[in-house]
Amino acid sequence: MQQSNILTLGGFRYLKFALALLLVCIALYFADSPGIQAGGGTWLGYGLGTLGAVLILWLMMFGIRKRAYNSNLGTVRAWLSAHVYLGLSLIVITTLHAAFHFGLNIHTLAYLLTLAVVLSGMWGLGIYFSIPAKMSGLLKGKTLEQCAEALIELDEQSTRIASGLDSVTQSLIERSAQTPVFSHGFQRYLGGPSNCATSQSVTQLKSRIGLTKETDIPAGATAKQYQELYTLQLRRQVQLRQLREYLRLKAQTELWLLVHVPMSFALLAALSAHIVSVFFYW
Amino acid sequence: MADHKPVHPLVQEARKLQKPISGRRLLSWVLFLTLGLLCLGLPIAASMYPAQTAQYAQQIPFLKDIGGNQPSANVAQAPSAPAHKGLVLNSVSTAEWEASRPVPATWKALDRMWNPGHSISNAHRRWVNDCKACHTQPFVQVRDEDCKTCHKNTADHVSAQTAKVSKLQDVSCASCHREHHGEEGLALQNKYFMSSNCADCHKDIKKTMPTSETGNAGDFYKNHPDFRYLIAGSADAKKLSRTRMPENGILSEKTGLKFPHDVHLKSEGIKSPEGKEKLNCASCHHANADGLTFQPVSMEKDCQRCHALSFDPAVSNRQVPHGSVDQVLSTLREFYSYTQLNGIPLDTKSNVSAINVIRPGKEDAPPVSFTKSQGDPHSRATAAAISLFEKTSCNVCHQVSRTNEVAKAHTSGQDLPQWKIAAVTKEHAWLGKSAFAFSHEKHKAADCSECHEASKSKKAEDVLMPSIKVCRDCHAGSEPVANKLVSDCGLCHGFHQHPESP
Repeated sequence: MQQSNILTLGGFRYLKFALALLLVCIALYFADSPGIQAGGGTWLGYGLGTLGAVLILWLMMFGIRKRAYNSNLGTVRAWLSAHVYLGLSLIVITTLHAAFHFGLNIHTLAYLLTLAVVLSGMWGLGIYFSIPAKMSGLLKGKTLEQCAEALIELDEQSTRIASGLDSVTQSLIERSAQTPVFSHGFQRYLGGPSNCATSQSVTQLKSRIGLTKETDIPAGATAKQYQELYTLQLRRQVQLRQLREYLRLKAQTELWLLVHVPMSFALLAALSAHIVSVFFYW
Repeated sequence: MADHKPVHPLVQEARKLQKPISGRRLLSWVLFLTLGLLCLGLPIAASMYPAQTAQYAQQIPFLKDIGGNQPSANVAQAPSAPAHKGLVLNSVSTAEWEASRPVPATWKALDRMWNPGHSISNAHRRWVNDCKACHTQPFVQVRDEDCKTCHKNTADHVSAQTAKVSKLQDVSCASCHREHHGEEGLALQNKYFMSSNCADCHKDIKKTMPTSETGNAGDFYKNHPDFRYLIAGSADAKKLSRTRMPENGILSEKTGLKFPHDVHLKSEGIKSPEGKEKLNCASCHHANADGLTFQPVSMEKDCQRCHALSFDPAVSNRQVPHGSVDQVLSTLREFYSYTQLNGIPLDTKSNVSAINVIRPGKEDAPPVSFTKSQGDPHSRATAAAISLFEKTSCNVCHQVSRTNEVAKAHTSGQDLPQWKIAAVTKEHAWLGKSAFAFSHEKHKAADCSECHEASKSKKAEDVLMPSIKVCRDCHAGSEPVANKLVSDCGLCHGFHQHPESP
């Protein structure tokens, strides 16, 4: 059983490394007495810039290491821990490199993209510390297909019971059985429609159970049958909601990466433009 | 056994939802290529091949409109930059230079997005969107030639004729002048920036340039030689030589004149035609507009009001010209010939009391008027000349001696005794054309006497220029000293020689 997580890995080994690195950079920054002004073009500026660029390239290589199953160049967990801490240290390193000078240009764009990528990384960190536990708690070990089969089973039982009842009820059950998990693609992120057919049938059946007058119950039906139907539909709804919530959370874990990774490539392009332009007009 | 039943839509959906959200790879490529093109590819093309980029861009609708307006490169309207007063640098007509550059320099000035900010110095602002004005070659730092396109006449630190100093070969314009650091002009920015590096060479100048005549200087307060002033070796010297102020702070220059400052600056005043008059420095020394130098003291403007060149005690409205000896003698000769023939009204009372130099053994009082003396015009003129040259006027300020030299031919005075006036050193500036930036204007809160001890000077030979001790009363060096102002090298010295210095 893992006693540590990616933040505490190795007794905060990579946190200590990142902090040491930052301390050195900050000390150098304050000890430096540049000619006219601090900035990216002084010797310290060049050094910090190189450090930052090398860091960015190494951070992006995490995706490569993750997929190199045969590699034993450190564990992926260790890489991830280092990735997190060194990524966070980039905030300070890039700011010192820029010497707090910003403007409307490619250089500040690269800086802002760096910050955006690191911030999205922090979002990802938050996601990964809260969501997986919630996800496994929802499905309790079942796979999605098994959940789907459970739904199908419930639908078959409901249809059987409903076949002996009135046509209104039958159509309710039928519509409920045809309800997909998500009717539109974007509902994946919202957690499903708020009032799907299954919810409707639950509400309707609930109201039928509450009826006391004999005259309101259609001929041939018994209260017990409605009770059963109601229970089945309620279980369907619960299962559906669990599925939807699970998939919403899953979508979040995928969405953040859809932000984090492409933005890092945008950063790569901006960084290349920043470095080339600085030496193009040296 | 294979299951040939059609798959339930819910199972199908579950299988589909199992797959993660795709699009990362595509989105990454799209962002990378778009940003790369817009922020790197396009500006490079626009910079290196502006004409071709413009051509292609015309055909692509959205490209045509990006970038906004081209900064004006209309050469006909570009005014020529004025030469800057007071700076050692001279700029040439920028219109000529702009005319030689391609238009547009960069298509739609797309390289503007690469400007690192920190405003450009004010003087260069007209090229803030024209990067190639200075960055002429890609991947090459701004070269001296790029600066000298306009700043052609900026002189070296040490002229090439004087020495080839190897250390200076590494020094370029950019060693001291860095653009993109704010609106301050680059020369002023540099005064406070680079001064600390002067001592690197000047602390032991002989190591860098063995033939140098400058003294070692590291810090104005702690390690700086005394000043050198331009001194004439003799009154008729053609060249002045830089002479260092001696230990006792007394520097002399032969002038050929007699002039006691202390007499003229007496606190109780000095005799003048209008009675007692208190003189001060400005009475005779008039400052020039450059804030540094003064106009030469002129006999006619500054002295003659009191030191009139009248020659006859009873004709106070006639003076001899302050000219050559033969001019003076001719005037006298002609005057006394004229008065012999025509008579002249005499003063009832002389307005100007002639200054008499009483010589031992000759206590005679001057005559009432030479026009009434015995003899003929020749002897009267002679008497007047002797009085003028040796007693009342010339001798007061000049070194006068009788001479047997032949008189100037064909002049009226050629039959009079002749005198020789010793040569007078031509008035000159004490500091030559150097990069030294003293300004009297900046020191106008101080009285002249705080630096120039004129009130104690008895002789014209005294060079009343201050020694370094005087300046150190107020100016410390690069490190703070109580009650003094920090003065680093750049406060007084420039790096570039004066363009006209030898």
